[in-house]
Amino acid sequence: MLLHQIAFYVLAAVAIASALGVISFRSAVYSMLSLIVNLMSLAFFFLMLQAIFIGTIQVLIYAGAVMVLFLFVVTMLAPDTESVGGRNPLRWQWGAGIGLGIILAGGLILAVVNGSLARDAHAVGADGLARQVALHGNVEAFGLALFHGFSFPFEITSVLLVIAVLGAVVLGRRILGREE
Amino acid sequence: MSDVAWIVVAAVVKSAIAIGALLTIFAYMTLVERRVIARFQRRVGPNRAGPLGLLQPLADGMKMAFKEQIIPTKARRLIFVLSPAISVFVALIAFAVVPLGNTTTWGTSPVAIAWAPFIADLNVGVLYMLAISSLAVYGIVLGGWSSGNHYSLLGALRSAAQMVSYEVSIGLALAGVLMLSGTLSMVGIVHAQVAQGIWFILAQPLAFVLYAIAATAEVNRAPFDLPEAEQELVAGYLTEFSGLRWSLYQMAEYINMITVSSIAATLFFGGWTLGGLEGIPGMPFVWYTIKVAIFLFIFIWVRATLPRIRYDQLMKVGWQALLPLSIINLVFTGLAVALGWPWWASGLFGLGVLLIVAVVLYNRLRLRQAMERQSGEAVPLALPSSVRLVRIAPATASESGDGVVAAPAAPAESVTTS
Repeated sequence: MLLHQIAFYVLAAVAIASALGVISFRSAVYSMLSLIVNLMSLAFFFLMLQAIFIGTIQVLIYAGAVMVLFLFVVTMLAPDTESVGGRNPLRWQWGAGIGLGIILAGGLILAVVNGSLARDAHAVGADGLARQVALHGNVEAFGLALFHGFSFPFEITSVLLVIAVLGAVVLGRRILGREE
Repeated sequence: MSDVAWIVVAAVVKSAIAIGALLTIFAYMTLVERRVIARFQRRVGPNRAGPLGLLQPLADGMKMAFKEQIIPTKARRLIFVLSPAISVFVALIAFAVVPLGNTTTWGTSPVAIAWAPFIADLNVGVLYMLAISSLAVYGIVLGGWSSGNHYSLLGALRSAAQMVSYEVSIGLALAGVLMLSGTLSMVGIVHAQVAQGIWFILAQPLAFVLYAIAATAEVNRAPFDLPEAEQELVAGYLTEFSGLRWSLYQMAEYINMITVSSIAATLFFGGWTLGGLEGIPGMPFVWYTIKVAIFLFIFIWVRATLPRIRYDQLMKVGWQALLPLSIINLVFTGLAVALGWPWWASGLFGLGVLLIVAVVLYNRLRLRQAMERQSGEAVPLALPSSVRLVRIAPATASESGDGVVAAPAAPAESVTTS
């Protein structure tokens, strides 16, 4: 499994580098392109875990739809603001960000090194899903889990999305009304 | 060699063949398109280079290769250089899941499957295609944005809006076929058509019409070629590109045409099957090729026939016509599949909806014609508020009798429509 390991480390390096790029580029468009690279490398991680369906959906939804809208808005609304220069008006964010980052990194390192968390948390769904994938195939197993096992959360999510759409319509309409 | 090595070799060889074939077809598609369009317009078309102009693509390629590739001073160099390559890369890899020949007679051992006539039979084939084609917009948007030119940026924005709008309809239209076949794999969809004894065009006529319209918009072909509308935007996102970078964009457009035609042939017209004739060795590939060629010809035909539609019409068709119709088709197909109705139930339903749409459109046309006849002038179209039509008062009889061209001395009457 040497190939597998090489692929993992290359992907991990790309993912981390692009994640750093998202927060360090001054230009919004370059920052957003880094985010796309980051999302694509996450999709490849899913592919390496044999989760073809989730990997494809990751590309389709995030890289293909969400980020295109980002790109659309960014290029349309801010074509001239190449870089956000000047003094940072929110200095306290540095401290808060560093503090929270250390806590998160510590927690993750603890989880990886210790390993007891993974043992204790019985991965019921994942275990069952892996068996289903072997039995029915990738998409079928995902569909069965989504529509038979988790249909209530799924429906609740769609209600949430409808609320979000309605909210967008209401907000957009109010702004248009003000202009007139 | 071990099995794994053979599978890798097979994948590399098949990919190389597919890429070589796609690029050759692209080159000759440009020639075919120019000749056919010339026929439509009663011209001759390029016929000088070689017999029948068959060496024209070669000459064009040489010319493009030796042209200067200009990079504008205001361009963002890295992205400007990369974006044509992104376009072509995305167009090429989308083709990987198309089954090109008979896949039922292939062996079951891993090595035998590795040489089957498709590059990959993904469990999520159709989703893979949609995912990859949703990335195609990056090549265009980034190219337009990085040119540092307002026309390019406008073309890129149009393209982004157009592709995002029509992707939704494509996905929903294809979902009807997926429900009938019960699989997302392109190979499996053809097998499902063989097993059910029909082509899915019979069960999903509405979905096919919606897909055909939306796919034309998705590949930015006429009458949906607003991103490169030459009267308004010079050449849209292509304005600043020259030489090989320009031809890379052309290449991506033609390969995308081949890919959407392949999806149409595979999902709606049985791919490599032809009513039992696919049993003859070697013929499945021919049937597949003929089907794709017909679709490519229709692309050219439509381009030669229809004028470009307006931007507001584009958005209206996408969101107010295609999307609701594809949802109607989806809901009815879901109902038919759930209740176990035979295939002709959704087929008749689709034809009925198409008939209703045709009647409604025809009546609206007649109504407008009747109003024009009554009032003796063109009925004002519903134009967006930014469009103004200026009507110049007609010249009087004495002026035209003198042979004087009607001078705009009469005050130009500005007609603003809401």
